[in-house]
Amino acid sequence: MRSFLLLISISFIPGLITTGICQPSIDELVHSLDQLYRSDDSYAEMSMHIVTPHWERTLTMQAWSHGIDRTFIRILSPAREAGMASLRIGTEMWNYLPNTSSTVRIPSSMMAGSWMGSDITNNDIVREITYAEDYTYSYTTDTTRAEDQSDGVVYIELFPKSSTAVVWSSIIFAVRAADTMPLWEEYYDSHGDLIKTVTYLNVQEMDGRTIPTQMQVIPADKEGQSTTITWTNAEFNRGLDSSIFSLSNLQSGE
Amino acid sequence: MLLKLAWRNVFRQKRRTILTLLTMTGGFFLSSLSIGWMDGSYSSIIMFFTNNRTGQIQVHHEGYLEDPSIYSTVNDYQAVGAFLDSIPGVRSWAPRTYSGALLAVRPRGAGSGNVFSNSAAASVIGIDPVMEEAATDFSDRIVIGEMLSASAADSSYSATGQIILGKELSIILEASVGDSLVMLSQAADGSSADRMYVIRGIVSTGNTDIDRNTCYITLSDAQILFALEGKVHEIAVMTHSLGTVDRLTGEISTALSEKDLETDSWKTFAKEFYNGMKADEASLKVTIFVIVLVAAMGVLNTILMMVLERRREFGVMKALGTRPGFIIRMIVLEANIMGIISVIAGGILSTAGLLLLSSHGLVMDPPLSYGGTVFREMIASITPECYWIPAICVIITATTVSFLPALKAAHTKAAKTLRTV
Repeated sequence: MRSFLLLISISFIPGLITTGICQPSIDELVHSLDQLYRSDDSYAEMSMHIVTPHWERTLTMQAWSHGIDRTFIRILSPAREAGMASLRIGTEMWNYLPNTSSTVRIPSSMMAGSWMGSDITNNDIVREITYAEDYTYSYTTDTTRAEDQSDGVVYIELFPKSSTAVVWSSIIFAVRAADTMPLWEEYYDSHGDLIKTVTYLNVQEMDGRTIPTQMQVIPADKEGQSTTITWTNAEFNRGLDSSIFSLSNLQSGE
Repeated sequence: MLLKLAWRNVFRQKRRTILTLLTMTGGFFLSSLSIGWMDGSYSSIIMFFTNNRTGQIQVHHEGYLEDPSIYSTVNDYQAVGAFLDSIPGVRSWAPRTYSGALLAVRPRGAGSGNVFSNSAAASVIGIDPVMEEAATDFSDRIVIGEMLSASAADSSYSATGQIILGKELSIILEASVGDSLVMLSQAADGSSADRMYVIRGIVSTGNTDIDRNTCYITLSDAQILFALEGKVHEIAVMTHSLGTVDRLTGEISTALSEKDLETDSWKTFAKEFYNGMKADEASLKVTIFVIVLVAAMGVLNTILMMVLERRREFGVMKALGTRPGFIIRMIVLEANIMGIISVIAGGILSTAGLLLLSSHGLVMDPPLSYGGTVFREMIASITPECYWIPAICVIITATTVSFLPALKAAHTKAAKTLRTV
């Protein structure tokens, strides 16, 4: 009897090991995705390249963040937008407009609107949700991208919990199993139609962290349109002064 | 012989004839007036509604109506306008741009700080103050303050602009005339568009859905702010009368189609309003049918009475050897003679009545509100329908209604009637 149990356990061990290599614990994986860009505080320099069928432009900016509820972004170029800034505290968002020296609060009706003409919405900036806490998730193999069904890539299907207010009803997340680097995300609506694809590119080390330094958002319903954010510099956990995240700093225009 | 007999019969019993004529003329008059009034009130509602805002015809870039985009523009709108001016039936035209923006106002009591925390999303319509006034009498609907005016500041991005808010929007923003307002939007070239404004007026179009999210700036300002130089999104065309709209739409459409422009009549771009009008018109047609029916019953009654009164006469005719067919034809002819006289008399009366109603109209009290537009006076219109529909009704009624009593008279038993009556 004892030898039988032993036999079973021995035969299971290789199985456990293989699953352990190919598919890391899903909880760990999702947690690592949440923590990828997150830190107690961060400072980043980035550029945002927006392409539409009608125009194409690049904005450069600085961004500060504190925890998950404070973000401050200042536009450096082009000239017409230089000095514009966005401050977000919790779910409130404010824009500073140097041209009129005024600070405007973004009403909730416009939170789903585009930020600076990009494919990123105000909500995307304000959102405080985490994959781990606001979604239910499981591994899946059901993905439309057959060519990506490659070795070493795992696919996670995420469903927002009923308390999570988002416009999509599922996300497929492709992650490289070896180093838990995200590859792409596809957002679907309740009809199963693709809303947007987010692709993570150019994995590099920045300030001791290995992160994809480029993120491309392609909306599915707007042909020829995309937004690409490229991090050129990032610093993590340097202990930022909390006065950065204030209306007075927003209006300082510096 | 038949005609002569019928003609004489009509004038033999004057009181009876006058009674029948009165019923028929009355029926004609009532039907004619209701048709005229229906036509008139519908075209005045439609003209009022379309003149108020949309125009009877609109010109857009192809596909703009289905998918309004800031990029779907009417380029070189001045040339299109010059073409419209050359068409005789066109009264005026108004160019417009449409875009969305965030508006923000300082909260009350916040002094002169620069935090604009009362904010709302709104649709921004760029209008040419002079042309808009000529086309839609825009200033009539301004409840507080005044109309926009063409100003040199329009072309200066850094100067303070002028803006008119919809009434409900001004309530949402807690703003009033004279307040400063910041607008933030995105231009057609992708750049951010922000500008400081001072509120010139508050407008109430009567349609609260529109007034809740609409503001107006001058066209030249909008073209600079949204990077739309020389372009507009819509040209609203005003015609002199509703009857010419379909013909003019076709004419303009043919001329502009090669420029990738789309021309639609109010039936297309104000589809809901058009369908509502059609449904209402159908129910009014039922009412007119009932009026015509009542008039026909009156005619039937008098002719039946006439036949019964003249039973002895028909008995004599039968006794003298008159064929039943002759009596039928005679009675039907008599009814038709009276019908024709009624149509002539009714025509004269109706013309007088319609002329009166078309010049004075009926004042609606309380005013009727339709699609957000308030109508105070209903005016009749004189159309061919006011005459030919009642005329046909009277003649057909006279013929069919007289046929039954005529049949009865024709089969009068000569001996029996002569004995009993």
